Amino acid sequence: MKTLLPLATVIILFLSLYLVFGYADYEKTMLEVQKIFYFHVSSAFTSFLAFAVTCVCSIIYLVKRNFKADLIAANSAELGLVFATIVLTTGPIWAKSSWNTWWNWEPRLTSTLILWLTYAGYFILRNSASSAQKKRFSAVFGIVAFLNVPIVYYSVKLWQSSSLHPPTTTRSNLAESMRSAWLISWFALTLIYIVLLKMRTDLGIILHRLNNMQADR
Amino acid sequence: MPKVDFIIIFLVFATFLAIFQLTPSPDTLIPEERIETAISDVLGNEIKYDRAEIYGIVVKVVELLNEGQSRRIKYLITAYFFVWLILILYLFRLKQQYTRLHKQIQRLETSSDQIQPK
Repeated sequence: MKTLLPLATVIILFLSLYLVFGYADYEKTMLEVQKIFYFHVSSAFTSFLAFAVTCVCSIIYLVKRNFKADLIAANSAELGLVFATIVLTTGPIWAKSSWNTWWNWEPRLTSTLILWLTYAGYFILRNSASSAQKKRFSAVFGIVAFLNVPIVYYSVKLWQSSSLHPPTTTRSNLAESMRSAWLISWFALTLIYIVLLKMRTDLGIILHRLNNMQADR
Repeated sequence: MPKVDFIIIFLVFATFLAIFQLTPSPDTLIPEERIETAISDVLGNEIKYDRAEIYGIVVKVVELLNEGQSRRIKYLITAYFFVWLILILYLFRLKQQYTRLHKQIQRLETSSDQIQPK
């Protein structure tokens, strides 16, 4: 089980790369550059999932004061930030090719940047507060910060007139080959997220035990 | 020292990206010889066509179809380059933490050996 999940992740990742570059049809207007979509959008969705896990674990921590819930919340926020960074770096590259500009202060881009900055703030808070307070403060912050996620997702609909991004409903209009490549890519990135979260949490638990042992001596 | 490793990884990636970005690529990705061969394969030895005229038309069509392809591919590769760079840097950070933890455990084992009476 310990090696099965990482192995499955690598296989699914290679399968997704094959589907993206060898199977999915080319989009008619953007051609090759549209293939950024598969990992750009999947990274965005994976970061939403990570931030949702942070929110749920933060609630659990506030209710039960469970150390593991706080650890998972922080680690998931860290991974969410990693995937959001992928979104914010691949996005401008795609924008430069398609819209001929690296950045545009349109709703989706601006709200995604705010989301990234919010979770960067989560770690600043976590590192600056005293150890007794940091878990409680960051749990509250983790719940409040999640309110940004639906804003990012629905930003295209909310500010339709000023948005350059296509409405989220267009994904249902994707060709079958594109849709399956996208779903497998998303699944691959979700598996990467799960594997990394598990690794990071195991590491955190060992570190916690070690610190406790050292404190007892 | 770990920070140096971190910078080295980043610099290696950045160098590859710079080389890739700065290398000029031809607008037409299909070489002229291949176009000529393809025309010969289609037309065979028939002499009723003006081969020079056909060649000119085909080259223009290929140029039109390939227009901007190298530019688009550069953007595509750059985007995927950053996806892997970010994931590799994160994995590297995890590895650093594992190494630090391992050293901490070793230190603890050594100190507990010293404390134990012989």
